[in-house]
Amino acid sequence: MRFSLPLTAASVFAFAHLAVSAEAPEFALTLKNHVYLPSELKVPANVKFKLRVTNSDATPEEFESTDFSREAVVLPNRSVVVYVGPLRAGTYTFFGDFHRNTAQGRLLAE
Amino acid sequence: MSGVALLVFREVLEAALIISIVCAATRGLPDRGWFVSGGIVLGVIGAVGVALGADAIGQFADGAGRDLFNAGVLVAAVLMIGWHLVWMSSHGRELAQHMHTVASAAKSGSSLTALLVVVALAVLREGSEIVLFLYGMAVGGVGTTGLVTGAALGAGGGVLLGVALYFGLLQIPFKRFFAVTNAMLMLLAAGLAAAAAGFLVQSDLLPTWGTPVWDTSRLLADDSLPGKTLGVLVGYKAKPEGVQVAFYLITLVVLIMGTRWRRRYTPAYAVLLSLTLCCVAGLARADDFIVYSPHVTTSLNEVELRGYHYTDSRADIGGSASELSIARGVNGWWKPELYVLEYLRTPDAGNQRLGYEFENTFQLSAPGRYWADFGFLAAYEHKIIANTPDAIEFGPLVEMSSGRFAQRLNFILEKQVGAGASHRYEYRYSYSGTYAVSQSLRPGIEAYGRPADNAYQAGPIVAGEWHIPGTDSGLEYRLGVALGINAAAPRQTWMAQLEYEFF
Repeated sequence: MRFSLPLTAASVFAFAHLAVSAEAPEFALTLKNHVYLPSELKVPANVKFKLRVTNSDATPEEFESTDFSREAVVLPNRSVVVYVGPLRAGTYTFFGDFHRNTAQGRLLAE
Repeated sequence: MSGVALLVFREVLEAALIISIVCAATRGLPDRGWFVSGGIVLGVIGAVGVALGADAIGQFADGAGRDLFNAGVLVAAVLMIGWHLVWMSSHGRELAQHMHTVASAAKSGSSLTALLVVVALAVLREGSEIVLFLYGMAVGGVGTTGLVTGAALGAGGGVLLGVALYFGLLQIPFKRFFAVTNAMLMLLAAGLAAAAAGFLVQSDLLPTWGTPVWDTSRLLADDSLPGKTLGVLVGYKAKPEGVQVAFYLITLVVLIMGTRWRRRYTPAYAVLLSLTLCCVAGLARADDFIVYSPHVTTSLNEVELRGYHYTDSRADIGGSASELSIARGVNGWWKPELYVLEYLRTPDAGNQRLGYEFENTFQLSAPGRYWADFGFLAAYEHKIIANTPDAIEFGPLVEMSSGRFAQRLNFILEKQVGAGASHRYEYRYSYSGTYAVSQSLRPGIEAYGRPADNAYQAGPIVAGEWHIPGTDSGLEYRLGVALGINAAAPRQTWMAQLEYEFF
């Protein structure tokens, strides 16, 4: 007797295609000399939005936040899009995992 | 140097904890040392490969490639752990009895291979980040001495904690040893499934289901050492998304059912299972496009995916719904069914999660005893959409069969309950008649009437089932289209259902 895990997983993933959301507003962050520009970014509360993180340094970085639970590696001279939210109004910190001392910033959701 | 050590430590710790659990769970299996080491070596090679190919992976699928890759790696690990657990559920006792003279090596091979993959994937995922990080540090001008010392310190610390966990686990008394390691593997798998959902959310491939379900970051932050350790071991997250909680619980329920269904129900597992089910309990209104059978089969489990889709040129009629449910025949007359996921998509409101439903089928007469078989359906629906009251549903189910012909009739009453509920009872009825050409091909017709919506529909369907050879399980399907009879009814409603049944 076998139990078909793949089937169940497939069932769960069948829902994935339903998840496409309406066009989300986009915001941009750039890493330069291992510092986020801007280091403070105003974003709308209670709305899902796109964050485009561009790395203009010569070394890889990991865009990460424990406050809004995201992590994405950004290679040199590349950008990644990370969907964030909906966030309740408030302040959320993020950082660069590979350069925690300098790469720090905040999202102000309002 | 301390930055290097800290990052390497965090990444190594995750892999080391997973490897420790795997090492403990494979205690007593022949050649497991080779399998685990092989997994680590493959993982390291894979990590370098992934780091080198990071750009290509990142460009894939419109930039969602990295998230898809991470989610895929995690899901693969979950499936492999599932495989091992199911294998353990039939061989574990043997293992516990003859600890040192275990079964045949051939028997344990496939299960060990599954765990080798788990180890390799864990090392690959964490290792590729370390490779990218160290590369960046080297380019950034951190000296070789600093890099090597930092990496060695970090890796050493991570491995040390992993080893400590392993020897801690070895202290568990023998009788309970595999019960504990299996439970740990289940929690690990559930956490990995939730993490996979997190990556899909990040690329907008899954909805979040609102703001995080809870926030315990003040109590136990994700990036603290205990938070991180619990994150790996039991999938702890300080701010989980709703969809992650669902992935976690569904994985847990599926694994518990998958490993326990053959054994006698132990009270501890029954409690764990029902607690989990209560937590999952959410979801689902029974959609109309089904004709229920009054039959209940003892200890038959069902995992069912069902959906319907309207096609109509009128703008106000459209949309689709889909749902996932789990059911089990507790005894010969009662089958509780839990709708764990249900979506409704309408033209104006878009995609919404509807709510939760707990549905019960009671078989009132033994099949074939009277001129027809009788049953009763009773369900409670909790809606999570604002300003939509909960509802109860109940009514008789009838089935008549003669030779290859089978007919079913349902008459379901529906009443809203709670705040804002209407005082009216609404009802709907449904009929199905099929002719069994063979077990796997049963064409027929179905009809649905909903007087409150002024909608009457009927159309062709085909259903059937296959027994999976060599198992006690089977697959059932049903496809059809209900056509509008009166002008107000939807022009076409396409119905699809896939069910996996096992004892």
